[in-house]
Amino acid sequence: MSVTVHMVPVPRSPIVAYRDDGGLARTMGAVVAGQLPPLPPAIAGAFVGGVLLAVGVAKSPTLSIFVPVVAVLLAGPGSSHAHDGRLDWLTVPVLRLMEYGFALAVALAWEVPGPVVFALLGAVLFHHYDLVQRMRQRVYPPRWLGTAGLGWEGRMLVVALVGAVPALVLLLAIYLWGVFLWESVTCWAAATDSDEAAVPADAGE
Amino acid sequence: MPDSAVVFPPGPNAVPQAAALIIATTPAAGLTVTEPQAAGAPDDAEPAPGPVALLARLAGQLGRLPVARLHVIARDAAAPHHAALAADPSAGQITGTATDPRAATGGGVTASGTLPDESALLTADDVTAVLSRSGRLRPHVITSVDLAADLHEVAAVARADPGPLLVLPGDLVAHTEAVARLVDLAGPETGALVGPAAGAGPLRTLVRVEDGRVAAAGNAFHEVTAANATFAGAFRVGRRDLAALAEVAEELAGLVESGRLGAVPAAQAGELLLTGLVRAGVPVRAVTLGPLRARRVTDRATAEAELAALAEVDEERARLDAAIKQDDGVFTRYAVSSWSAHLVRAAARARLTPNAVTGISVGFAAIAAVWFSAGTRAGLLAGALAYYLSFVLDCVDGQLARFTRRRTALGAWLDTVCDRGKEFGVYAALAIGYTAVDEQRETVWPLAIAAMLLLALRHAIGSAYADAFPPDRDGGGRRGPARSLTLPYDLGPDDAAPDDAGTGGGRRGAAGRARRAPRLVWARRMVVLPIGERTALICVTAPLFEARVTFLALLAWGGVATLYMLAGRVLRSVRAAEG
Repeated sequence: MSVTVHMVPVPRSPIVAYRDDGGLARTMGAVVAGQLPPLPPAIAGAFVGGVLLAVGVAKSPTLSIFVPVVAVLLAGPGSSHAHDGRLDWLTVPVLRLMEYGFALAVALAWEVPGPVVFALLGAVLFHHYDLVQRMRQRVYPPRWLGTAGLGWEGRMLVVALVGAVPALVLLLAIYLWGVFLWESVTCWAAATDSDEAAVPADAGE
Repeated sequence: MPDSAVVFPPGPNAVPQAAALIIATTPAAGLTVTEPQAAGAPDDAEPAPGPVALLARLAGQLGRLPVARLHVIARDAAAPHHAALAADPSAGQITGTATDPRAATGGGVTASGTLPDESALLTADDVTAVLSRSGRLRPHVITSVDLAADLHEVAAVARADPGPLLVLPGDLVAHTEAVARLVDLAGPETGALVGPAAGAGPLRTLVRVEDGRVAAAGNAFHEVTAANATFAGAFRVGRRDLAALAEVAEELAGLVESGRLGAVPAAQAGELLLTGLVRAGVPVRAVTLGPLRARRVTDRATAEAELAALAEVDEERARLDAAIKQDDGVFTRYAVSSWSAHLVRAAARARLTPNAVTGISVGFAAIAAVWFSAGTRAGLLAGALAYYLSFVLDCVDGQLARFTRRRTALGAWLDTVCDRGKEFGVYAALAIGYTAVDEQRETVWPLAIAAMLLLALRHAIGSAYADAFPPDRDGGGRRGPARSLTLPYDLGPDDAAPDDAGTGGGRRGAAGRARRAPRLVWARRMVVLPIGERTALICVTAPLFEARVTFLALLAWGGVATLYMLAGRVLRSVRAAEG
């Protein structure tokens, strides 16, 4: 009789897990080995991205790709940092703002149908809410999920490339829903119930 | 790389259940009593059990709570009970009947698990026999000869057991719900059951409660200045504070052995330990009884009087009131919690699980979405009504989970996913309804998407900050200044350290603010646009105006809420760095 045990690494800190880095950001983080503070470059990336979008690069695939490229060059290396500074938790909302804002701007520029954009961002949001619950209930996400889910930087790059074609945006939405929903449901179904699950109250709720 | 160690996923089951340590060294623990039928007991309640020893009653109560291990400290059978009493004259003074010569007979437990002699001190054999039928918990019985030995044994248990650890006196007569409030304390917290100040005595020692914490605790040796409550005898030590409990117990044992605590009776082991924890600077939450009761008893008369008093309290009602959170937003409090108790009770009677209620709530939200997507005035009105009912059921599922103690990890996840699914589904439905009326109104979609993204961003700020500053790492769990246990006196309220620059835990600060200006607190709760207020906003603006107005209102109010939350959390982070 053989027993298969799936081993999931415990993330070093919930903040790092909430970043939702993809393969690219992780690779860049590995290069600098945690020596770069995460917050200032992320804010710089968001600022540059915001300026680029403000001057109207969203409409052009070749120009709009600069937003995720600049973002990943600046914020990507921070992925290996412990995020133990007093304000490092701010990196998470900054990355979220960058990803959500960019997707919305590109979709608006190309007049992607509203329901398609709603579906795409709904998939991303599902994953982000799921991540928080995963960390709190210690049902840690497997490593491959970060890669398969493309990460914040991967999704921004793909959105910049396919934003002009609504059908491809829809395809991306379907793919992300498939990955995030399927993985989450199977994982939670496998996690046995507990009588004493510590559920900290979410701030602001 | 983000991962440094490969381990088995701990999973929700890795959260250990609590252990209980009963110090059954007073004769009253062996009292055999008959429980009267409780008031307001449901028809399907288990029939009142026959005569049962107080210790067995307590163990049975623990068996119905998420308690996994039971340790019991009893007197050594080899030590003559009379000798033990003679060496500890105050024990006789407290218990009264303990000097009865029949006390020496001990043992002789009848087949029904009761003791023939009510005034006997329990021996290890008695405890094993008494507890043989008292429920699922198999006791780990420890024998000890006197107070100092009791304290050494407490230290040993605190070191060996992974905790959290409940410490209870064997002569405690309490509502199961009162004990449950200790068991239900959040993971790392340490807390003590605290009752009204009136009627203090050797077994109801005085304490002073400040801002929800036990600031000073007394016993026969240690005095309390400006006492405002009494200690009911039972406390719970979180895992983080187990080492402190062990240290304190050893220190107290040493002081007792050297006679430096004067004539502290053996019955006050728990009271001494609480004083020790408080003086060691361990933050001890004051767990209030409210309408519930928990008291130590000394003889048959007080035990029966207390049992009769317990039966007069509607325990289910008290549990229901406690299950309904009071710190929600204004809308939730006045438009939902005011009547959701009836639904919780009905759902509990119908044996619905919290997850089933979540399912029904999702069903109502789906109905709301269908109506909203029609886009007509009637549709918007019907949708608003269905969405309100969906929100009420959404509150009921959490209340039911607390009421029936069926909180599960899966339930928590399901609740979050369903909450957001319902909310964003309704956004989409409103946008669909708005464009269905007029194809040219496609511009509402960016507004709907922006409202959704803003809420997600706000939640990201909240959860990232909450995990960066968990309450047990910052403020809440911090040790206060320690004070020597050899000093009998208490310096009083002024002795308390000034509020540590606002970082002494949000709870403490929030409690202070609530006393000063309740209206300001309500305003603070509303400005962050909690889910109740969001629901109300949708249910009112959608039928009154149109979906566009709803989204604009959500964006405006949500924008203010985001900036307010962000500013507050950044300031607190910076202040925490300074302090």
